[in-house]
Amino acid sequence: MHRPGFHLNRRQVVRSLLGGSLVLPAIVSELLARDDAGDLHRDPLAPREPQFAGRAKRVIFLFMTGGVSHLESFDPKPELAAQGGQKHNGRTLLAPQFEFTRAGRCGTPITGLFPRIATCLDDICVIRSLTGSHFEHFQATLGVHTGSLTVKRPSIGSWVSYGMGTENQDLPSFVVLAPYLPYAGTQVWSADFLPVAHQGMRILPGAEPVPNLRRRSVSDDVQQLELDLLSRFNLRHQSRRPADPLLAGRIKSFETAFGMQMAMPEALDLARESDATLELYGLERGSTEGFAWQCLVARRLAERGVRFIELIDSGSSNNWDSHGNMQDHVPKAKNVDQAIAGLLKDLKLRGMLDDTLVVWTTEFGRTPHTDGPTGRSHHPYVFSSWLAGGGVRGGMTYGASDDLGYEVAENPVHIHDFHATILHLLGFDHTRLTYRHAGRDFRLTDVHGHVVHAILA
Amino acid sequence: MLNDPLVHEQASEFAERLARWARDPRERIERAFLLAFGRPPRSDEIAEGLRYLDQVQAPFRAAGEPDDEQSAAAWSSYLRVLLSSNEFVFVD
Repeated sequence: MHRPGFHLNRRQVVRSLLGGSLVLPAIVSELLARDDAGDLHRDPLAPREPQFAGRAKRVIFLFMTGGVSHLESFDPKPELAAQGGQKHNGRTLLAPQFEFTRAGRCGTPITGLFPRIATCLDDICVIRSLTGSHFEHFQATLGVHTGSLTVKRPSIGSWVSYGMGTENQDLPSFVVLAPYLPYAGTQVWSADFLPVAHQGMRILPGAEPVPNLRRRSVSDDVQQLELDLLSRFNLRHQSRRPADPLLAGRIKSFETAFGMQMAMPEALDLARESDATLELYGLERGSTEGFAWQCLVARRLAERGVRFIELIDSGSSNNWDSHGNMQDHVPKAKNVDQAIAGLLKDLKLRGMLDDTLVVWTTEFGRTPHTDGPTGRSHHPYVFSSWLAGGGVRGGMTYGASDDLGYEVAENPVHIHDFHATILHLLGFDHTRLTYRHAGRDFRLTDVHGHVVHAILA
Repeated sequence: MLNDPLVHEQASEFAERLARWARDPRERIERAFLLAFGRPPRSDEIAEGLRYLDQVQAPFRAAGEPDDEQSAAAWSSYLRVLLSSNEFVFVD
């Protein structure tokens, strides 16, 4: 049922409740002044200086869906190898299924799953004591992206976009390259209560990466007239509805879309990339899909000023969730290994690794005991991830799990600490990057988070 | 949204419906506002619409739209904007 006047936002409600009184205008202006929506008339995507000089200017966030086993990737457990097949607390332990070797000058251990990433370890800081708070895909995926396991909250990419704006107004500030929908779906890149312009924009591999971007009008002139008329309609409409963030967001999205008609096809056009570059990533010329395509496009978007680029390797099925057999990790690793190594090397070659933070993570690790005969179940209590570039000290490992890989043994890094550290590298104190919503200041780390200073270069 | 096939399809059907309703462009605009927004247009909005329909003829001609199609193309274009506008998309 349509109820006129019922869909007011908070500011309008405050105004209508109190605005008529002679005594209360002071309270009204106080309440309204404290609402961040007061910033509405500022361009939400204009580039902004961070709170202090950060080392990283942008982030490439590599998310491996399904739960990558720490025990088969970056966290060697000789004791687990020795006790494989034995019972532990009523469960059968499974020895690590892949051999570890030390690689790089730094000698960081890594398994044969990632032979190419092994050649980049001198630039990588492996965290072996990451810990989360949920053992289901949906909640844990949400946690890694928003800090919240239950209620929806803005994604880390949206927070970074909100804090820093973006350098190229013709492209979105937060782009997600995801061939499949992950667990928790589009909530993973949602701006939620932050201004809509900070929402992640998903690009699909294939022939039409951004649906409906190409103009359907017969000519540029017709399109220009239509956009002009549309903007007059929308501005008149907005002027009678002050401070509705959705209206402003939608107007902004038309502006970005228009800029993108030129800028996005150019950014996605790999024709001028050299054979050597394509080879580095393992991308066949002309191909517009696969993780290699995602990684090369990520570098091009980073070059063009996009602030936060997230790459998701698979979706809510056919992913790293190897319950039955750890050998199922092999094709998943093969899918990303060369592309990720190519990305790191290419960024370094172009001098971009210094101010680009590359994050590799997953929603949780896997149990030291079996689930299926040679598979493992979900394990959020300790797992591994890594950071590279952007002010991170390469060639090191940080933190440790216990002998069997069940719990954190030293230097725990909770997901909130991980987030706090990423924001710190970008020049933000995570306790001060806040947005006032529903009467209080919200932040990515809620009331938690400690910066891991030991891994800063 | 201006590029969505559904919006294009609906706008041209909307244009045909208006053409059946009335010949006078002013009446068509009034009808379009009542149907899309549930309110009559203000006089400046009618003037803006008439001006737009006139303005958009030339680029359509330049783009090689056949002559008898021009008017229908202009109306579809105008209605696409109506259907893409915030007033149409959001319910107050």
